[in-house]
Amino acid sequence: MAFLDIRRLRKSYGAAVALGGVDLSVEEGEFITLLGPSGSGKTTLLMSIAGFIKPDEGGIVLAGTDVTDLEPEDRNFGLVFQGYALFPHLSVRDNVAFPLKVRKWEKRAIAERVEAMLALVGLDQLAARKPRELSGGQQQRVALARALAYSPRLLLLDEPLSALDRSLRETMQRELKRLHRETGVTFIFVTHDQEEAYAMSDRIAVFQNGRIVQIGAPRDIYRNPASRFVAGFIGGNNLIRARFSPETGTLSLLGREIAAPQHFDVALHHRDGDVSAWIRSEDIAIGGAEAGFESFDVTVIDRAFIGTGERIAVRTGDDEELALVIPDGAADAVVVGAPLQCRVRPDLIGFLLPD
Amino acid sequence: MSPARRLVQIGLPKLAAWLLLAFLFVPILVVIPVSLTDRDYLSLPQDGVSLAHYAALLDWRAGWLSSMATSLAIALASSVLATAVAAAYAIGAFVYVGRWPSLLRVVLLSPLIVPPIIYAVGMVKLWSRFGLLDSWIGVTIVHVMLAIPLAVLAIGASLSNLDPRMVQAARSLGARPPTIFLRVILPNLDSGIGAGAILAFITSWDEITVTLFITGRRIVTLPRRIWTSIADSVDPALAAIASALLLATLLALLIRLFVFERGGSLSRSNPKIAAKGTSS
Ligand SMILES: Nc1ncnc2c1ncn2[C@@H]1O[C@H](COP(=O)(O)OP(=O)(O)OP(=O)(O)O)[C@@H](O)[C@H]1O
Ligand SMILES: [Mg+2]
Repeated sequence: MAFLDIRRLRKSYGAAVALGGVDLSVEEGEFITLLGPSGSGKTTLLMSIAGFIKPDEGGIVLAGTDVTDLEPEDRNFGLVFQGYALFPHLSVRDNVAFPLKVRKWEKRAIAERVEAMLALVGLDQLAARKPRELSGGQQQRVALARALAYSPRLLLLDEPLSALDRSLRETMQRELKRLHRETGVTFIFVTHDQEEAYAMSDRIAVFQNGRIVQIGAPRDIYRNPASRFVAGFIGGNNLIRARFSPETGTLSLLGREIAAPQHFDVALHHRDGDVSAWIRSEDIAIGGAEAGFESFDVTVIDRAFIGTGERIAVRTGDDEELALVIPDGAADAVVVGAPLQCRVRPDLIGFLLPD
Repeated sequence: MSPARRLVQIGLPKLAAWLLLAFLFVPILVVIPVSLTDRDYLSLPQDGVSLAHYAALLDWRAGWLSSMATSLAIALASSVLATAVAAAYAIGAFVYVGRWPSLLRVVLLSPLIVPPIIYAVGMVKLWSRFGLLDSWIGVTIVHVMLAIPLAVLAIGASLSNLDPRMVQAARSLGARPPTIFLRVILPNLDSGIGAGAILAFITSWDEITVTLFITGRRIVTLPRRIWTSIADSVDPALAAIASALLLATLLALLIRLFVFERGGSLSRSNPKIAAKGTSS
């Protein structure tokens, strides 16, 4: 049995199903991310774990105890929001001390813990300030220190970084990972940003329409998306149509007819001959055939400089649009509107179960 | 800009503003001289100024002092009660979003919408049945009801600046309702509650319409005393009491200006001092 066990959790608002039977097991000390598009039920699940939303069905078990009917104030979980929700009338120090005073700690113990928490998040110099006198990143740190001060059994974070600008977000991502390492607390983190999820998590649970459609380590999800939806949502993938011919054992895709690669499972992926496939942008290169590659002809429709290289959009012979990312300088021969030859290794093409 | 246009665009509005201000000051400029008259009817001073009418105010037998005490007591009680009810409602509505709070809001705000005279007639019937006509309790209850809407609006306005997630945050941190109320919500409402209490006090202090109907010989509030003295005489003591009230208001404003504004600007400059000390 896992540290946190969520079993068949359901929640509907009238006809709208926010959670359609969610199962999730989280190990102690894990950093797990709930990733999904807007409205897919991430916040609903997080707030159910926190106790603010009462599920219609299903249960939540923490370390062997059923907590489904506990009030939020009795759960001893930490909660951090996008808006931080700091107490504006209290100084940074008193914000962090609040949960300890509520728990009737001794004065000395409170002072020591507050100092330690502020040092942990690097705010010891600003202890006397009021929240409105802090920057967004600093407020975020106060919210984290406050939610971690009483050693909660779980820390729940609902898109805590989405209000911050890009560079600050990366700093705070590192900060969160460090806090996770140093405190050993189990983190459940909500985001709709794939890169953020990849960068931080031990495991990612991908949400679609109130269900978890795939769960696994970031690499597994990136390399083996379980469905068309996941392959599209996690980013960097080209989704294409292909067609399988059982008589010849060949696939027609990208305007070519190629031998089905070894990992293509006829029983699993094949339905009515139509097949969904994906190719990652970085796996497509410019140039003619080579050993182990299949080449295909395309027309260039756009080039865009993206800093680390160029993103090139092309149209294939069977009218699919592909995006490829190539190093800067390698794209000199690429002219918008002109034909081009590309190549790909068939063993890097992924095939999907029909949705 | 040509001088003519300048005159039209800046000069005329300025003139209008000054005229309006002067118009607002006329009653003040009239009432003070009249209060100093040496005659015993409403008039401007003729053979010199006299403080006799102010002295009359302080004479217990004239009834002004006791009316002031009555009004003060009722206004204080109404202010405290109305503010408490309004705060309880506003905070409850803030924490529990739903249909009940908005229905209740219509009921609580209804005294703003119903004309006082209709309200007054209704209250006479009701209070005569309960034997509360011309009683302290009867008047105070009515004043509380009339004062609640303003207190609700004032407290609601300051609550709308609060992040509703603060309550969730406090609960997740382990705080129970009494703690959330006392340590989280109330400290953020002090200005709204203060404003609500003052508005409620003023509402009760100068309430006349309903009070006229539900009081008789026993409860004589200051507005009622003024009303009767206008009805049966033109005593310059009226001007004296008006001037006294004016001066009291002016004094309150000055105190606010010098005590609170100074305190406010001090705390506003604090962040700068703090910001110099550290950087991160
Ligand atoms: N109080 C509510 N009343 C009615 N419907 C709700 C309520 N809360 C959530 N929903 C619905 O439940 C679904 C899931 O909402 P939820 O807030 O969990 O999404 P989310 O994944 O957190 O989205 P986002 O990324 O935009 O925050 C949505 O379709 C939403 O419209
Ligand atoms: Mg959400």
